Amino acid sequence: MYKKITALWCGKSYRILKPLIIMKLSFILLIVTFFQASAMTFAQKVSIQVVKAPLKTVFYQLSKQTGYNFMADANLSRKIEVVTLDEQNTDLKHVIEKCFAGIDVEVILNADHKTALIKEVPGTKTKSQQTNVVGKVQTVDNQPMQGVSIGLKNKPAKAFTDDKGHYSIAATPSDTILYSFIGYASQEQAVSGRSIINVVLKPVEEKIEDVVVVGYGQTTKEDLTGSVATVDVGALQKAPVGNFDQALAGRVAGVQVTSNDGQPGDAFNIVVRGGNSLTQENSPLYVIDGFPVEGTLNSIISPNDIETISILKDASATAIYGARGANGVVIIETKKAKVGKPKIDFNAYYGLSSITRKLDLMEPYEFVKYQLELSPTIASALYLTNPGLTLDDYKTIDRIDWQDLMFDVGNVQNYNLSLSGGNNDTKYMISGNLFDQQGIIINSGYKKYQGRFQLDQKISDRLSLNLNLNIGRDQAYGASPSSPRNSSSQPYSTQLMYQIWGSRPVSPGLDLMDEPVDPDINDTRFNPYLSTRNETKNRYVNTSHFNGRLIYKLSDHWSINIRGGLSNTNTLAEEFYNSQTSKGYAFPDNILGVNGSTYETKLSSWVNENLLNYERRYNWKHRLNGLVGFTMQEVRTDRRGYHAKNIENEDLGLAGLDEGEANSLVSTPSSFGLMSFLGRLNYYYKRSLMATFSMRADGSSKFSKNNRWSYFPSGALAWNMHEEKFLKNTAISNSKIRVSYGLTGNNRVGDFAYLSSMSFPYNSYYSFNNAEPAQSAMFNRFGNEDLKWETTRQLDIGYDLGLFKNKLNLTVDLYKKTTYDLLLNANVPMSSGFTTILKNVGKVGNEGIEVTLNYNWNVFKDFNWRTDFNISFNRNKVLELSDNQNMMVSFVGFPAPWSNAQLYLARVGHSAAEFFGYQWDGNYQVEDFDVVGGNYVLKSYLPTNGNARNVIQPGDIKYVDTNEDGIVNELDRIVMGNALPKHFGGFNNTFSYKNLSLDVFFQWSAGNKVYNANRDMFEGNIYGRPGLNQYASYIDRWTMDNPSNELYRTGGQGPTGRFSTRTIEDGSFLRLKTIMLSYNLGQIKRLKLTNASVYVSGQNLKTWTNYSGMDPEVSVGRTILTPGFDYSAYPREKTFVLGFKCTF
Amino acid sequence: MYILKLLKMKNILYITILLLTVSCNKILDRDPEDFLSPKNYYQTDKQLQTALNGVYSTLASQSLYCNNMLARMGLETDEGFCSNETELRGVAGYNTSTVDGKVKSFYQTLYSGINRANLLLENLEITDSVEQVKRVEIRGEALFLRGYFYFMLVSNFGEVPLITQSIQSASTSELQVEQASLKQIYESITADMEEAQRLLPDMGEVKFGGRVTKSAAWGILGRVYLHMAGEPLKDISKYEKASYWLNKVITSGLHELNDNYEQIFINYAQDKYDPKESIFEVEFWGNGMSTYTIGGMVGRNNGIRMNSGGAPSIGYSPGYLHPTENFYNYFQAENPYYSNDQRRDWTIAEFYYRDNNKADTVHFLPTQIYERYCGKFRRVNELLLPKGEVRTPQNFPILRYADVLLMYAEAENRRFGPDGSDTDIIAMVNDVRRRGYGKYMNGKSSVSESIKTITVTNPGSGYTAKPNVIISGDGIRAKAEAIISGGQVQTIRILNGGIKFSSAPTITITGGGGSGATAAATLTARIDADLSADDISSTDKFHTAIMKERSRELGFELLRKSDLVRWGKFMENMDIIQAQINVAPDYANQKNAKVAYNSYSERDVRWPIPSDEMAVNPKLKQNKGW
Repeated sequence: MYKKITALWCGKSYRILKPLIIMKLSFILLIVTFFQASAMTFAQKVSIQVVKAPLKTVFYQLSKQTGYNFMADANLSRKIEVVTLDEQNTDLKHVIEKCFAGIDVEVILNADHKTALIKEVPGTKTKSQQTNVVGKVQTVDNQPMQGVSIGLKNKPAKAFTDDKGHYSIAATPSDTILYSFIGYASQEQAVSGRSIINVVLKPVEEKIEDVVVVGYGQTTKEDLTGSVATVDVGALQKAPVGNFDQALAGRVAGVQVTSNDGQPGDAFNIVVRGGNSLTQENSPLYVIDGFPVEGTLNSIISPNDIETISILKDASATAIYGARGANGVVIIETKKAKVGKPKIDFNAYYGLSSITRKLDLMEPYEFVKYQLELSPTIASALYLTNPGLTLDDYKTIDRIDWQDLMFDVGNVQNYNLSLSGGNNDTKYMISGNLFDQQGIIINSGYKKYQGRFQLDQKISDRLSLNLNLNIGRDQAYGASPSSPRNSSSQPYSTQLMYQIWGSRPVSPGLDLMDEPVDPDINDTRFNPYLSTRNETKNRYVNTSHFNGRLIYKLSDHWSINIRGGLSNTNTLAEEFYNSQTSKGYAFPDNILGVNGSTYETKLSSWVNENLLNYERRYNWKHRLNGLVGFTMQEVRTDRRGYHAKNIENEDLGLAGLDEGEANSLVSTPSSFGLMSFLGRLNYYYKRSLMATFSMRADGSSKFSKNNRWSYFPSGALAWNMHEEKFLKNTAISNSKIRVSYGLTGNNRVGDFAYLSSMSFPYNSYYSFNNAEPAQSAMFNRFGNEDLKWETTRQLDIGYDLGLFKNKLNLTVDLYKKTTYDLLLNANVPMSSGFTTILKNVGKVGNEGIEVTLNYNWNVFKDFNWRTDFNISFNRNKVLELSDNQNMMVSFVGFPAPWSNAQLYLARVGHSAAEFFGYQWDGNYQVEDFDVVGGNYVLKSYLPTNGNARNVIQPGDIKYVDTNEDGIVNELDRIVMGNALPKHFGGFNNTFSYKNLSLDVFFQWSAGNKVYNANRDMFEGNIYGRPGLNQYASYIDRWTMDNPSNELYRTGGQGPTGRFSTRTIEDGSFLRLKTIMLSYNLGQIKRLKLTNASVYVSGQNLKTWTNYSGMDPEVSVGRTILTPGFDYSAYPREKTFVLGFKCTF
Repeated sequence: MYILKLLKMKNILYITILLLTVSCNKILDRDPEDFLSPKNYYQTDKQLQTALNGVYSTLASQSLYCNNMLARMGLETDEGFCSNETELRGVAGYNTSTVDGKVKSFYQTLYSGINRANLLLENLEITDSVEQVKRVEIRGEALFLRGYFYFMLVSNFGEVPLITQSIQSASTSELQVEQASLKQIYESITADMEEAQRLLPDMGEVKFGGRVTKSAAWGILGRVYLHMAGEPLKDISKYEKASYWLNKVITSGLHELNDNYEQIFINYAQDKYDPKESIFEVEFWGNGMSTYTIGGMVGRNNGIRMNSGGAPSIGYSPGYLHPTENFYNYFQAENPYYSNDQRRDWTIAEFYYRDNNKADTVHFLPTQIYERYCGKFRRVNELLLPKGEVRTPQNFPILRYADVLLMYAEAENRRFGPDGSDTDIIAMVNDVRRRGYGKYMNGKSSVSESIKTITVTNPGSGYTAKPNVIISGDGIRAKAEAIISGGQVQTIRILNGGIKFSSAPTITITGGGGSGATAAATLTARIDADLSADDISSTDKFHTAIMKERSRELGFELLRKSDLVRWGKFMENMDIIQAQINVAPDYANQKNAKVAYNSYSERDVRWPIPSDEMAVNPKLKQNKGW
């Protein structure tokens, strides 16, 4: 089998090549070498003229011309004595073949190594018995496959396909031809007299999926002991979205991805296995190409550039990230260059987006009718007497449709272009992305530009270098409906959706469109159209991210991995509100006047990681690998900027900020450092039993010297049962049980949270004797020197099952997490002088089940159906709070008197986010009253709703008097529901038929409640604001003739400032999230495209829900304690795009 | 190749060790660059002063005198009510609850002020770079303010935790402190203030009321002792102490009544100091439109209504605060149109601005009492332009000299009766009253008067319409109208008695189609302003007179609720208001007033300890009834 190889001629690089030459090359190596050479088939042209020259001379000349080194079987070279050639500009390969005239040789050129391998094709002597079998090898999508190795079973004959996929091999009719290509399933074809055999090779998907990226390394699915979810990136990339997190929801069991509203460019909230922390950040740690990042990645990375996303969920997987691992870790590896000739990929799509749902508002007639009930005197003058109209006239009058004015058809466009290629030594990839999305609210949107350069260089066969450079910039702009004007006495009325829904549909004698402020009303609502067109609100994020890695192989078993990275993120937030905007208009309560701000946040970080890896198989039974390492990271943040008010010259816009008065000046540099030691050991017994132990020690500057270091151990065991005899040869192709346990930490506190701090805010200055106000010292934080990490211990039991050669896969994980020493911004007795102090108190539990199921079904020839399903159940429970506290209340930002109503409750023994408020009980009806002197007087035995008994009228809102004391007050409040879902998940289907494929993805969330505060405002008008339009549903309100028990009468809202079950709604939904239909056009020779496809894709196409608001996935002002509040959210959009993808 | 050499195992180890030792400290030992820590503060003059400013600024907090206390917390009790419907759902309408945000922030703000004072007092001596004199003064001010904060707490919540040391750790034992007894709290207050009065500068040196002086400490000590002598502690031995300290103010020679009652409040509006009358005041600055948003809401919350965007010369006010009928009637009046007690129509504005938008005024009908506004703090007098709609520069009085006189009289009367005191306490009360009647408008020596009566001396004849009544004299503002009947002038009704008359004016009656009518006026005398013989006939009667006098003189100055509580009169007086209000006609404001005056109960003498505080401190006991 093995051939002795001899060097015919070697150039200068002889020394490097020496090992190659003296090594006995195996067949496999040959294939590899060949493959690489043929991948780079630059026709090498030579000119040579020799007469009877020795072979050595000829190759000397050829070497001089081409720089190639030539190697041939020793036997072969001896067969040729002298050569005569006269070639001009001839293919090198052809020339070589001529040198060996009469012998069937195979010439393998490796352009990378500049080597030519010449080999006698065996069996020439028996030529007569053979036929030449020819054929073409293609991929499933009809792509010609180049470099496929063609062999004969049990015979040394060997051939490769050319760049068109063609091959030719001599074979006898009884031979069996073997086709093999890395990453594809090998095939056998019996010749049986055929002379043309065309073959389609299918990729071995399992093989690709096999590799699982884990913390500080990678492993295979087979060897995995922890709970690590690998995101189907391909499916993710089918969604027409600018950022990967937008497409992540429902893709992975145990990972809850939500957005606050539809604001373009906003990062999504990702929570792995339920929130651990009550007052601190719960987002996972991101590790992008080895660089740990706390915060969002959106501007760094384009979805198209992602190669893999691994989500580490259990302690065994996350403990290697120690103090930052408790919230789960999302590891993203960007696409790596692959060996091959330069390849250009292009992907572009363009599409339209529109609002998923508009709400029906009152038409002019109903609006005026309502106004006449609300304030009869004013309204009848305004709508009837003054313009000389009757109520019926309003049935035909034109209305202003503010929703139509404000919601526009948005568009989205995206372009990705990448160039990649390389050989064994050098690989590169350059890519660029441009994404531009116009929001569905006029004058809002999101843009993103992103570029990436990646280089892999093998410096020697021991040392290799990887460089990665990402540069990105994104810009989110336009109105954010969920933010109010903060200097307002009626903040709710300064929010955009209030203005859109609430503005009057009719205004006799007045063109409301031109009025900044409706003169006939008395709140701080502003013309939303005017405001949105005039305001400037931009957030730019500029990111540069550089990452370099050196890998040095010390020996067969040991290697060193040194990584260094630098990252800079500059966020510039600019706002400018001129006098024609809601936030800059000269409302009497607008003490800021025309105002604007610019704040820049610089975040710079460097990281250094040094790992020593060990890997060894001792014999067939024992295998060991592990690593030790230490890492350092430093993160500096620097926020600077100012807010200016009362700006004189508003025409200058942002440039005029310096003409205003300083309102708030910010300069807050800060930093933290982290230093860690880590180690991990994996032990495998045969192929069936495996164990992992890991340990990390973290030292952080965020804690005082005494509490600086902490240690996070973990361990896991797994058993691949299918490797045992009793499961061999059954339908069970995979059966694995995993158990893991470990500790992880959370350090998400301010950089110097353990130190007391003082502040000198402008609003606390004090002026003596009318002098210029002087600074006053405030103590905004009590420094708790005892502060340390929050720790989470987690037990995970997982089971993986694969049936029918892994066509059907099931993974089930059960986990139980307990987070203790909670970093809690704990309420403390106010008598201490502080309201909260950051302490390590409290305990939170999360337990749940995650199920992932996929099935790959070849329904009939050419028709495949793959389905992926996952569902997660998580139960979140507060186990302990600050000293003896049995509940903790939280507020959501909303106007007084609601701002004091504690809508959220975290009770010991219950979920961290329960709604708390009044039990709504319909309306008081006529029969609840006695008629005294023509007046309705509430029957004395009936409880009041909190208003004075003498003012309660039929049709007024009624609450349950839970403590039966005859009056409904704050003592009657109950728990109104849980804001956290019972389960959530996703369901993806891919249908493919020949060149056509269809992806349909559903996502759901079930059992969570949402508080729809919009309804308090627009389905009953809780403040009784005149001229405030209402939802059309309020037409059906209580009247004497329509004694509804659902909607209270005009003005029957009862005491203000109450959250009640009336507007608590079921937030469950099922969403047709992504759909993509694509057609593969295959190769288009005319355009030199090796592949092309066209597709249509849609996002958020349909949502099934009972929620009455715009969208059930809403959480304005979200924290872990205050989810699911809906007021003036940015509406959600549905998007449809048409796209084109091709490869040159 | 050098790199490869470097990468040899041994070298890596060395490099590692080197890197570790060098970087470990550098990476993990960090100091904040952005903020100051109290640990390294209190080193310089300026830092001590800044820390002290932080203690002062507590008073000017939104939760206290800046906003919430003004009309929004029901501190006016029987004097007036808030017409804002939202406020009436809370503490202003006696509908408060243990979760009331205003009650909570009142409590919280005072404790954070106490904490600032504690920290300052503890750290005052850590440096000797500051002059002793300066440190002594700062100690005096901080001690006084801490005492005053506790006084505000104890008079509104009763028993509260008494914390005079800053916390050193976040341990439960240190954080959860049980309530001290009333006696302990009061003793701590008096101890702080008695030490403070020793250290503080006197008013002659300070010359403005924004800074704590000896006079302020003495006066407030008097107030504190009066509270101790009253409900619920009822330690009547403390009247003596009250007298003692109040007497120090009176005999200091630094204080006297401003001759013009209205001027006191115009001064507050115009940022003018009157250290003789106004002994201690909360300082507010600016109109809220500058960098420092430290204006208050004096004149805004409790002003005469002017709509937002209305006449800019007047300044915005939602006009929340309205009088009760009872309070209105405390002022002695000859007829429904005017009172010779000039304080009435100043304290309770008898006019409103047209349409709530325009600067010209319209007079209320005599029946429109509940509609009227608190007129004590009039934004029209502010000089700072433009007039902010959210914040005003007006300062707010905490202690006036008139209060000192009334408190002294009260204490002495309690001890010795109206006549038993060494000092003439009746004259002191009369002095306050005479000033209120405009007697001293031209200065104490040249007493000015107002018209007491106008008598028709000749009814004339042939009058078909109301003739004009012209009052000519050296006084101003006097106004009267003729009432005719059968062609004759029957009576002349005084609409405004005017001020600053030194002799009786001539009355001329012209027009109206008739002729011959004449009338003569008489002026009031000091005796008309003085307490009646009955008022001073016994200790109890004199006390009753003083109780009313305090309202007349100090109405809407946020003293009423704690006064009523210490006198044990809260329920009694509120019941009176309730009875009146429930039969009063249904004006818009009065409808709101009905909510308030039908909601109070016995428990409202104290606010509840906020439920959030109860939740985190199980050692606390809730106040009775909550």
